Amino acid sequence: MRLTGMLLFVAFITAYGNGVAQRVTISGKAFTLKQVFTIIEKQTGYVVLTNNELSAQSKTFPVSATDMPLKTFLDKLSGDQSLKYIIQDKTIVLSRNTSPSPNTPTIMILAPEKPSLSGQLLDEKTREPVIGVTIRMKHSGQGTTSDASGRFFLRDLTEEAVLSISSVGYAPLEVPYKKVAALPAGDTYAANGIRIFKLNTGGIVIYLARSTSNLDESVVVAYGTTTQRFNTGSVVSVKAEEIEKQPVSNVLAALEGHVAGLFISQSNGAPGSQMKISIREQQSITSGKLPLFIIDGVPFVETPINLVGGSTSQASGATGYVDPMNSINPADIESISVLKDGDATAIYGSRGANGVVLITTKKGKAGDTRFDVNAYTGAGRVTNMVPMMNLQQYLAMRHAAFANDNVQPDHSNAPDLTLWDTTRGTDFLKKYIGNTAYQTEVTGALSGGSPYLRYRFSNTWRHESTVFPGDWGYNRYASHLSVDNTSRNGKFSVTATAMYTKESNNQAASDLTSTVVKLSPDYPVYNNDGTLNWTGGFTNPESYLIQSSKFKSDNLLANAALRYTIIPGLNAKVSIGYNKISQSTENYQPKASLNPNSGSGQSMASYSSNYIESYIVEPQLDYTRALGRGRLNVLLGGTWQQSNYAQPYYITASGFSNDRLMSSWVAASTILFKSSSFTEYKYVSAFGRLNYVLNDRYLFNFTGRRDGSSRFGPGRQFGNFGSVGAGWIFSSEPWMKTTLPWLSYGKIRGSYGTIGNDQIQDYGYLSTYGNTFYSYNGAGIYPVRSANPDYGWESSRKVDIALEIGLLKDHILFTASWFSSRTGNQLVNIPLSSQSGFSSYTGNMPALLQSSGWEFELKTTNVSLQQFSWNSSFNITFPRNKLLSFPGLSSTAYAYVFIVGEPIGNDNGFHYTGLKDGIATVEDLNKDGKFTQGLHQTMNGDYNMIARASPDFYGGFSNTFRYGKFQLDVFMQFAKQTKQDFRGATRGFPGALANQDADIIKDGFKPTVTVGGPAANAYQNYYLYSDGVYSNAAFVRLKNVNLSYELPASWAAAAKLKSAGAFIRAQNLFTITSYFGFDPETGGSVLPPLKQIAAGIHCSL
Amino acid sequence: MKKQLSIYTYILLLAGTVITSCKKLIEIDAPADQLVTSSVFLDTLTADAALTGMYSRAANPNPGTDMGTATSMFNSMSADETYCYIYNFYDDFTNNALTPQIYYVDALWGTLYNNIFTANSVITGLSGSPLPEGYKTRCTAEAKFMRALSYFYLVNEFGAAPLVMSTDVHNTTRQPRDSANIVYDQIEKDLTEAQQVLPATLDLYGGKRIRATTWAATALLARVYLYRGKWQQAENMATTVINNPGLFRMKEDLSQVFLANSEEGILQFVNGITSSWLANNFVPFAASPTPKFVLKDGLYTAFETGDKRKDNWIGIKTYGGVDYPYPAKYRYMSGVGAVEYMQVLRLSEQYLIRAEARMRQQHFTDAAADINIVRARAGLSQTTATDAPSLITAIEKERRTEFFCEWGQRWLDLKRWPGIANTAVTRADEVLSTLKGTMWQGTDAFYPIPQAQINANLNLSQNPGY
Repeated sequence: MRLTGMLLFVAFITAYGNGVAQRVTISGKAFTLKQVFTIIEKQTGYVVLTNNELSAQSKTFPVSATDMPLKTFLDKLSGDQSLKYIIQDKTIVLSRNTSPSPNTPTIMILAPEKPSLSGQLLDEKTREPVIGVTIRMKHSGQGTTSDASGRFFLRDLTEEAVLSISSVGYAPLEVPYKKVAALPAGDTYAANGIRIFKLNTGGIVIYLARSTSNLDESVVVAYGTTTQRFNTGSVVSVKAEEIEKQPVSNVLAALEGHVAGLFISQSNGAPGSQMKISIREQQSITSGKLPLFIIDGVPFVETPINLVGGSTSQASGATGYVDPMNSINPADIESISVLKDGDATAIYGSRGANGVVLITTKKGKAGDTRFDVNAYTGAGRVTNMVPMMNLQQYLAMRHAAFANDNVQPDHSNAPDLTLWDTTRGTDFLKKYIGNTAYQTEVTGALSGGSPYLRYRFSNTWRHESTVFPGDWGYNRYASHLSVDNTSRNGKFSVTATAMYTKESNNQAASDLTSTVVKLSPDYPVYNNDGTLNWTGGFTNPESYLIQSSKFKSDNLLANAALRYTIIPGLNAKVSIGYNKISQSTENYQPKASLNPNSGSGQSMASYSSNYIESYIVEPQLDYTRALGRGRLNVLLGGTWQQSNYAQPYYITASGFSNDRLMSSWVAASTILFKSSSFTEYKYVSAFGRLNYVLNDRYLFNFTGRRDGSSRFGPGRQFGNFGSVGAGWIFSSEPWMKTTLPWLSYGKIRGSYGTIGNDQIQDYGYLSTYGNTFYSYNGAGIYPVRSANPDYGWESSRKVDIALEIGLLKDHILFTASWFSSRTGNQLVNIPLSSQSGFSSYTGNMPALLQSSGWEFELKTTNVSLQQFSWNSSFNITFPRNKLLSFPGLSSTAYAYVFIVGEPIGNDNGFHYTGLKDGIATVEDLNKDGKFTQGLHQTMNGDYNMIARASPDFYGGFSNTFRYGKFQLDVFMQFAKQTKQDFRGATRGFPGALANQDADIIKDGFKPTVTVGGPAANAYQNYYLYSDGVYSNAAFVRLKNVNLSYELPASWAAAAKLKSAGAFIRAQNLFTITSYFGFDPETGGSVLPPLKQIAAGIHCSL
Repeated sequence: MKKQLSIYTYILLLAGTVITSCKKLIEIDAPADQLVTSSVFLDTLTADAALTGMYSRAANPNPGTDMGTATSMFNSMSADETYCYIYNFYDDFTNNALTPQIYYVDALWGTLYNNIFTANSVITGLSGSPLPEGYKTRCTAEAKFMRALSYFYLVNEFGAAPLVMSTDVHNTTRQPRDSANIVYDQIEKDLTEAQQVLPATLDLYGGKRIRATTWAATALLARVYLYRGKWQQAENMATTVINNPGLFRMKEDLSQVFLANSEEGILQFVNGITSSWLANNFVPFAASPTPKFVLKDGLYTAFETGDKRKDNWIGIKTYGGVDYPYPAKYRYMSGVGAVEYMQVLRLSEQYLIRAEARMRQQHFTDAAADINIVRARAGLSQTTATDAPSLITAIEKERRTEFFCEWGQRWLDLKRWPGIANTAVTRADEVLSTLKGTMWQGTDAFYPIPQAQINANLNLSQNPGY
């Protein structure tokens, strides 16, 4: 089907092709040649290549043919119209026959005064037309762009003209016209990586080679693509190969540490759990801090959907809030672009203030049908357990505590000493989170197609079990279908993607970690009669294993993009998208699992259903043309989006006659609680972008957007946003090339933009009444929201300045950037005191918050030999945020937490000054003899800042070694930060009826049993609120190691495979940290990220 | 030129369509599960729902603890009535070691102010409503009663408190504390006004005593006058209520006092959807081996021999061979159906209010007669008290055994009474320092203003001792 060899190509020219299978039917009295050509193209799928003279011919003539073979028809047409033709590949090249036909008078062709040139641009490898390429004459600066079939026409050439051809993703070319003109028809010109074929017509075919430099790799940006070289904004792209190496279920976990300015941390180690994500620091005090996620043009809501309806009791078992991104299969992702600065994000207007993450899914590639299989399986464990007291240490602490307080242990205050077997201790951590979790993933993908119709259909199944005892597991089935269709003439194309993911997560009712750390080592889990033991005030961990949380999710994401080329360079596009994520969570609490002290003993269950549904329509007009010495691209478009957030029901029921009937509330005798909620969000905007590249070295980019959002009250719904970006590729200056020859690439870029944030609750401007949960001899309503119709947009002004440098033929690429974002008119949930009847209301605050920092990226090709290569990549980010001003701060509730001139989101607390007689002491900062909460600086309390919310710095370092068919990837992640430690998270005071970490008595704390006594009071009210429970959470983690082996092509061929290989992947192999707790990333006492090792194979049929 | 024109035509067309239709494109409907406030007080059906909502939220706030349950539980521990057997997180109450960070204190503060806000919303909503005057007056009076009841507990639990009278959150959030006297004056004003216009029958509420009547306002007014030392007025109010045998009667069968529609109830709240929160909190579940809340010895032994209240209102849980008494006035747990309603105001209190008021006015015989009505119902002989000191002791003992673990009656009494041996201190100082030693300090009489509230409203001052 595809002709790749030059020999074959030449053979066709002489052999007149074999297009016999194609047939033509045509009938009419007055056709122009051009009309006939169009019909041929339409009916046969062949491309007709001809010169301007023929296609401009206005003379009409009658034609008639019925189901005539193409060759016969062409013979006839050539004879009648004195033409000659050749067929090469799928192209018919027609030209005037120089020997005049006796039937028609000779037409005088006026030779143009200056030569002209027609040609076609084809990709060297795929032979597909390359669209939208600028072809300029170097001296005059005039030029044109290639049309939908890659064709172009240049007038007024001079002998000395040099054609300069540049396109995204292709190596730039310079072609001397003289050489082309001199080239005989049917010959090929090849020099300096340029390959040009001259047709009999005088036209040329130019083969463009893909650029090998990282700088010229295609990068997906807002509403289009560009390259790092020509980009004026700050965009980092992560490719599929980087994602595929990591055996994780959530693609965000695979991004950790890979992108400068993108900070991601896991909230716990259970499958499906929520990821915390921020791009370039917190921009907003309380409004949404999440970046805008767009998957194939469809906005994706990254807020956990089980938050819809607002009740926290709906969280899904051990997983907690379920990250919606978990329903996107990483294996279907082609690339992820992280848009960071104003230039890259301003076109997203009111939604882009926190940065934008563009996810593009895989598409089919033209070629033979191939079937790829990728399968791996592996296991994971908790690597770092917090050392807890053993039985002896624990009993010693308890006895000392009773002795200290002169209290007699009895059944009530000390079942651990008086009732339980004090000779047998259990390591509860090992028992409950010390098991092995398994994972398996299998992907099968079918892809292929022609240049006109390409498809990819992939299916992935994934299973993950947990480290908790029992048969818990997460299953995901993901199906992805992508179809691209381009019309024969290339004018019309459709890209359609549909993605469907089904998840089911059957989890224990809660993360056992924080429960089991507290258990006394002699705590008997069961009573003698086999029932659960509930004495001692502990939550029995077995109850969480009897209870279960069943989570189900369906995610359908569909998108279609239609493009029509109105005239060359002008495309009309419309993108239509739909996304619906539905989740249901059912929590079962059978009778046997319930604490008889605190419940009726009736089995209970809760059922919730949530969904988010979004529609988006985005019409666009895109115009590209050569202008002066540069390339101009103009984009105009609009967006209409609607999202519905709904919780059709949330029900808690009890009193099931039989625990097996709990899957339906119909079997319940009592409905304890019921609610439902529905909200609507609409969004509309118009946007435009103007991009101009002058002389391939001066870059300009302007964007503007006007947005309207239903989240604001009447009169406040619309806002304007925009940006200016510019870049100068100084290495392309001729004088630079001579002065600094080792500098292969150098660019300075900068941008300024204003972007908004509307991540606030819907209907915030309306004062409303809602239904009461309980009937009071009838249904009641009560005020649920106070109104503030006056709030408006929160907008950020972003500045970004960067220097990009490539040395030694781009073997070393270095980027340094400084960013700053100032967000004023802060849209916050202004806290209210309870006396007002509400806890907060939505409003603007005059606070000005600055997020700024430095980002450095270094990519090096250390060794690049045939057999061995070594590439490294390093990035580091130093983020800072600072409250620049806050007029009237002291009269707001924020006075308690904020200091002007300091970062926000800090943890504030006492300064721990050590122990006095075993009792914790803290500093009396304001010297008033009392220890009061509240910042020293603003409220004359005794608090100071003790930890910043964000790390001092973070980053990643990755190395890829390739030796023959082996490849080894090693990725390290690091961060410097301070976090609350294990003690701060578990909170019980030493001596009470609960286990403690092994060091607490060695540290000198005096054990006590009296709540409210001096030791307990000091521990709980001062120590736990001090920097004494904060720990250095800096870490270096060997995040990912991937060793793969590719079978030699000959072996694979022998096995009738296109390719095959095997790999071993490890995640979180080890962590170097001095943090006191399970893990410095998740912190506290939650299940830490697991160390996972997986092995697998892939092959292509 | 022609081509250029067509581009611009497209652009203009597109831009034109987008801009002209923008406003319509982002119009959304009001939330399907909520009502816009301005539409609530336009018809009586919806306004009734708002009134029902006010009671429902007062009886069953979510989340948090309703004021009856919170005061009954927390105050019983702060005073000398109970301790919690199974959790140590309530020990801060038992040990009078509360800090401003304790969640429960913030929840109590929030619950009370939420009631006040809801009541204020009803009052504000009705003031601009086109509904009939009579309807508006009656509903406004109900809201005023609810406001007074909530403020009564605020001043008694926390002392001085911001007197919030409007729904303008921007201003009310910053209000500083007003003295207890100012708050009490408003309580009297609200109750007096409500008393004038509230219905005197239960007809309006289907014979149930679950919404405010003139009698409820009068009964609460009696208590307020008593607390403020207005003896004559307290006596008058109590008498007004007592002289209604058609509506209110002392329930002879003590096991029926706390049932739904009990004739002893002047006002009852419908708790939950099945039964009372108090039963769920105080009574150990059948399957539970351990007790939950245990009566302290002093209270248990205060019951005289033959006191039927001891048999009817106290349960016993045996654990490890020991009998633990627990409060069991409410005993029907969830899953049984709404058998019990929470008694907010009941008749026997009116007798003891009047007894105290009469005693303070030196009407010793009348005072003893009132005490005897309560004693007789409990199966006890007539009191032997005849003079002020003996009557003070008799009233204290009777209130202690009649109202234990009920809306913090004991806690409030201890704090308002002067000491018996030393009138310069409060009765709480005498009783609780004997019981709890140095854990008790005079400043523990008022709970701390929750730190979260001080953080949110810098104009709030903290109570002394915290």
